[in-house]
Amino acid sequence: MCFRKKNSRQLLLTRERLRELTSVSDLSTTEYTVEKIVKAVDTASAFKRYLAGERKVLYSCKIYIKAGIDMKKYDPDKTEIDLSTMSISITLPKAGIISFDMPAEEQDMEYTKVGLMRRRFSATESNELLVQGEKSVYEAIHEMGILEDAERNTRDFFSAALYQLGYHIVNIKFEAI
Amino acid sequence: MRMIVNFFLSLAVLAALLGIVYLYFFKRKKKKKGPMIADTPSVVVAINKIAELATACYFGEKIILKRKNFLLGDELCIIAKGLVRAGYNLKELKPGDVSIKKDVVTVRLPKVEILDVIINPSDWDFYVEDGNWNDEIRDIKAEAKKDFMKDAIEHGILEKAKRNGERKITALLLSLGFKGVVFS
Repeated sequence: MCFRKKNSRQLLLTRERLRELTSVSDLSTTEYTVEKIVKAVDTASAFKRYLAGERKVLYSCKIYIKAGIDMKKYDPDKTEIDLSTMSISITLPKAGIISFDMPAEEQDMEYTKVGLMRRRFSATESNELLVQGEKSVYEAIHEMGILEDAERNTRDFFSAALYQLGYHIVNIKFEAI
Repeated sequence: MRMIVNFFLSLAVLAALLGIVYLYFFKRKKKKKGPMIADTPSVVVAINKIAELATACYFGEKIILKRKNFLLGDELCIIAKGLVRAGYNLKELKPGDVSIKKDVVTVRLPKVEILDVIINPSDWDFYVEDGNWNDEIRDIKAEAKKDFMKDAIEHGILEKAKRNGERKITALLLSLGFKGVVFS
């Protein structure tokens, strides 16, 4: 079996390896573990399925999603301190998704069935299915409530730290946008 | 004469309509090519409270070339993109690790560590697959993950994470009313 993209061998040979090391400042406060069953649908016609057999595969995958705040967006000018009452009010950036990890070591093929006259799933096809699974989880993130949890946990984290730093009254707000 | 013109006109309209209907169904069928997945739910199985401050990030791209079965010329060529994040696990901070003397705060930070090595399915570009590599792909992916981590460390991700982390924490603590920050 061959899966080759036409006319792009030249491009591959001249392609340079890319590396980049950058500074970030992401505070992750919440991690969700999501399970997803990736179930392939046999798109062949009913006639072909009857004649040559079916082609099925089932993967179970784990996805780790971290959410928190980007401290690069933190604006110190919005922090108000009153030393006479030891009170502090800080405004933090809005919570967002920090990382999305669907590791290969947690993608398990649970079941596969391929008719005698059909070809096995190639690594390319399996990966295409997993890409669709990844996309489907990514699109469902905002319905999971992870950002609300991240804001709550970030508030808890900063409250604990600020009390430990000596403040008696702590007020934590998040940017509106 | 008029009847003949009307006949050909009707014929032309009918042909155009049939053409549109054919193209519509043909295009719909085309979209179905390639493997597809069924709609299954994404289930949240665990929620963890964490406290990780990522302060450096490494992005790499590499070409992985594998060969097996020299008689058949089985070959695999993949372009992989990997992301490595490094920083501090602030959950390891104990109450005694932060002390305050007047306006100066002393912090004993935990060691910087690699927090994540991320290569998602969409980060794999299968350029050539001659033969079937489905049985080997898992090991190839695990090997690539290790390579990305090694590359990131060799390129100084941990040093950068420490440097940048201390700078960021200093800036944050100064904005919270302290006059000085010391790392021990």
